[in-house]
Amino acid sequence: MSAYKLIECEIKDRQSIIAGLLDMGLNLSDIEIHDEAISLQDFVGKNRPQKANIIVRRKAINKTFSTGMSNDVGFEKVEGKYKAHISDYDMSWWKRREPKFKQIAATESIISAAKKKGYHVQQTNEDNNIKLKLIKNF
Amino acid sequence: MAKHVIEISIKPGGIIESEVLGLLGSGCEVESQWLDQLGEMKEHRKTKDSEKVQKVELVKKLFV
Repeated sequence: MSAYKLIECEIKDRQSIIAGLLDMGLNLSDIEIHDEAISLQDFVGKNRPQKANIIVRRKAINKTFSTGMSNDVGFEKVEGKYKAHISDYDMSWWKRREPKFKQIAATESIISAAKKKGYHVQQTNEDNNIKLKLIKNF
Repeated sequence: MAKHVIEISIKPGGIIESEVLGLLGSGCEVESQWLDQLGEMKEHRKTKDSEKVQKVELVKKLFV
């Protein structure tokens, strides 16, 4: 071995967000994608000040997580990175799922980048960790 | 044919631990630079093989 790195992943591509949301139990049809960020809505359908490029509407959140009166959840692309907009009401269910969401999104980011670099990818799951072996022949 | 391997562990919360295997010295740095673009670097250290290359280079210099 010759190098060791510890990196906190930042989510920079929409496919990684989508992978994380699907893993949470949402369906692809629950996820809206907008090139230009649009307003999120609150639990009665009124526009909130926050805007987002990737949106899960409150109806899908209520249905999937039985939350009752959720607001929309959104991800806004700011300076090349996605920022999550989660209402205070929805924060408790989100916090329970966020670690796994980030893990799945990070995995998707790495696999996508590795394949572009010509690596063959092997994936295994070990305890709570996802292990990737990236192999390249010269 | 030479083989280069990167072993990665992804923890809940999106923390990535990686080790680069099969490349020595600066080759390792170059080949793993793309990992740095994935997020914020919290720790980066060279391990045994990297030191070995530096020692070999030092020995070469001493005997030139």
